[in-house]
Amino acid sequence: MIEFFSDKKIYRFFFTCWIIIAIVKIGEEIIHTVRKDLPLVLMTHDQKRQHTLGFFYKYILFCKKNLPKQATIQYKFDVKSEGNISDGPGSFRFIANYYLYPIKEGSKNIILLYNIDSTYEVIKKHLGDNYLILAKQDDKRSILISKEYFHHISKEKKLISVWKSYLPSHTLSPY
Amino acid sequence: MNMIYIKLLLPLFIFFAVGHTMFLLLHGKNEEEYFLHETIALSYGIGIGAITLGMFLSSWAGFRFDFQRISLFSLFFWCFSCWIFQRTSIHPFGKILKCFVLPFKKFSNLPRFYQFLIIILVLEVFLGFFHAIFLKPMQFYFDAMSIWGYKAKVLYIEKGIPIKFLTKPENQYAHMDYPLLIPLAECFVYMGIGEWNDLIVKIIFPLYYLSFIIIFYSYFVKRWDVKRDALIITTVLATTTLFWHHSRTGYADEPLSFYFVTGMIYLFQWMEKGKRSDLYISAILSGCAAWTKNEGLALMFIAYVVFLLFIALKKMKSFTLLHSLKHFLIYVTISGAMIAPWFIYKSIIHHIPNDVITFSSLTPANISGHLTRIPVILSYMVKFMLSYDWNHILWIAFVLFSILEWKKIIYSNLLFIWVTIVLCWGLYFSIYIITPHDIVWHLTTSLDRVLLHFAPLVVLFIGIAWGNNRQQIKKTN
Repeated sequence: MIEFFSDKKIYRFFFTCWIIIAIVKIGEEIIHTVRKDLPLVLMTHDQKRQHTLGFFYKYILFCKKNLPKQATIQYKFDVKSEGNISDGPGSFRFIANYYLYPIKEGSKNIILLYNIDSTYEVIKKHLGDNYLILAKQDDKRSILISKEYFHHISKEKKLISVWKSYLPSHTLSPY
Repeated sequence: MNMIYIKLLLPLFIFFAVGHTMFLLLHGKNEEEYFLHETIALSYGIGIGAITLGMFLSSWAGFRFDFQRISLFSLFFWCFSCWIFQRTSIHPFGKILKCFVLPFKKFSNLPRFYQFLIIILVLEVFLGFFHAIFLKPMQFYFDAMSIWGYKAKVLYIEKGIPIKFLTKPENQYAHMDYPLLIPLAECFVYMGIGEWNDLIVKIIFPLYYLSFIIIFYSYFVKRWDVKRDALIITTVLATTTLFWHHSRTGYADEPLSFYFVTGMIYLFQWMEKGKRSDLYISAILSGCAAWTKNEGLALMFIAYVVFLLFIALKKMKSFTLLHSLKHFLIYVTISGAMIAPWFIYKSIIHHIPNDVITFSSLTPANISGHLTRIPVILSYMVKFMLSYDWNHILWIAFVLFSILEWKKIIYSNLLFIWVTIVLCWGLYFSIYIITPHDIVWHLTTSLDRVLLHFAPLVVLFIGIAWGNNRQQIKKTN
């Protein structure tokens, strides 16, 4: 052992180990890509976005298609926890409500309520001059999320601007 | 769709042209001292820094972004500087083509081991590009989408930097005080292709990865003049998980790592050879690091500390103290000038707050109150560094080589790389102590990216230690 270290064969040992590990990792990466990511190749760009942004993306497309062009949209974000936080090891279910409401009085009003990790059916309703779009939950899945992350989201109101940014239209610039 | 890939070439070429113009201005007619592929790689990084800084300044002056004007202006200056500085190579396309075609021609004549390493490198680079621009748009990576991509899209839509956007409280989660290199670079690509596209724009990240590999390889070839050894150590860098993983995510950490580490490489090169252009290039790259992310500013100060240490130890005998201090001032002026406009804009004029580190987090009460975090941070860091997924062998090797080679480290320029690594580690360790966030959450979400900022320096350290050892063996034989 002492000879091994003093002779500096350790460098050769290091590089040999490294190359073996690198080959294994490249192999793992290729397998992962073929198994999990390759279906993405066949998707269109919009389908890929939809795949990751999920329901909200569909919802935005829905709004764009159905609402009057002059409707001004702004987002309000709220997160509520449901049930006892100590139900699981550092995890709990939460419900996110998204409201779209007018900047100026008299504009069209849109309200959306939905749970972040479930799939929904969008129902459009009229409430006087306002639009009410309810997202109807069709399954009861909940997501596991750490306590810290929950507080982070609720404190920073993180998701509003992000999704606003991913509106497919360029005409809805908020600034 | 295919037209977009063709359109994409123009903004990328403009990045190169602007970078190359700056390179020529810094280096003049002696380009032979740098390899052509090294020049191209450097030009790409420097070009992005220069264009984005120019876009920021022009927006501040009240001009809207105009791709055609920027392109024409850049191309004119590029042609002009090529004509002034390199009369013989005003048409560098032939050379560039040669630089990329020749290796393939020679490939079949190379020994098996060379071929094997080249295949690994090509495979990694290919996978990087494939993931980034064909497979996963930004939405797959949260910060890429919600911070960098979000800013880029707004800048693209507005054709400028709307101050309301930067100061709006609800946007603060996206770190509005972060410098704008990445958002502006993405915005420039959008302008070039004529549309907002969150998939194709990611090409800038694997290009940073490729440029990094090229610069790293060039450094070792120049140092040792042995291509095989340079290829081995470059393969180690290219296959470092931290490094290749982030080449495809769209986060700003890979570019930051590129600017900081290549800046340090050219600084070390200057320490060894005293070539002035190395110093200028290093200063610009360090300035670009500060212009990429707030952490880059701290890393730039680490470069200053290492520089001062170099002066204090008087490692370069040909320089007097006055000479060295003059060089230090040049270094500080160039790198500082790159970040000063943004600093004045955000802190003095518009008071955009830093949402992580504030004055209150630097109070003695806050620091002493957070000292209980030290065991948590240490244990998390050690666990992370010893995990197979994040190249435990790299960190183990660093510690082992530091112990085995301590004498050589102290008496050689290797000391400066070692000090840089330790300072970087210390910097991030202290940030974790004062962070207002929950420490476990902060560690889980950022440690890999933070280590990426200086992980290539660890590879550099191992490479140089190995090279020194081989030289010693040769001498004894």
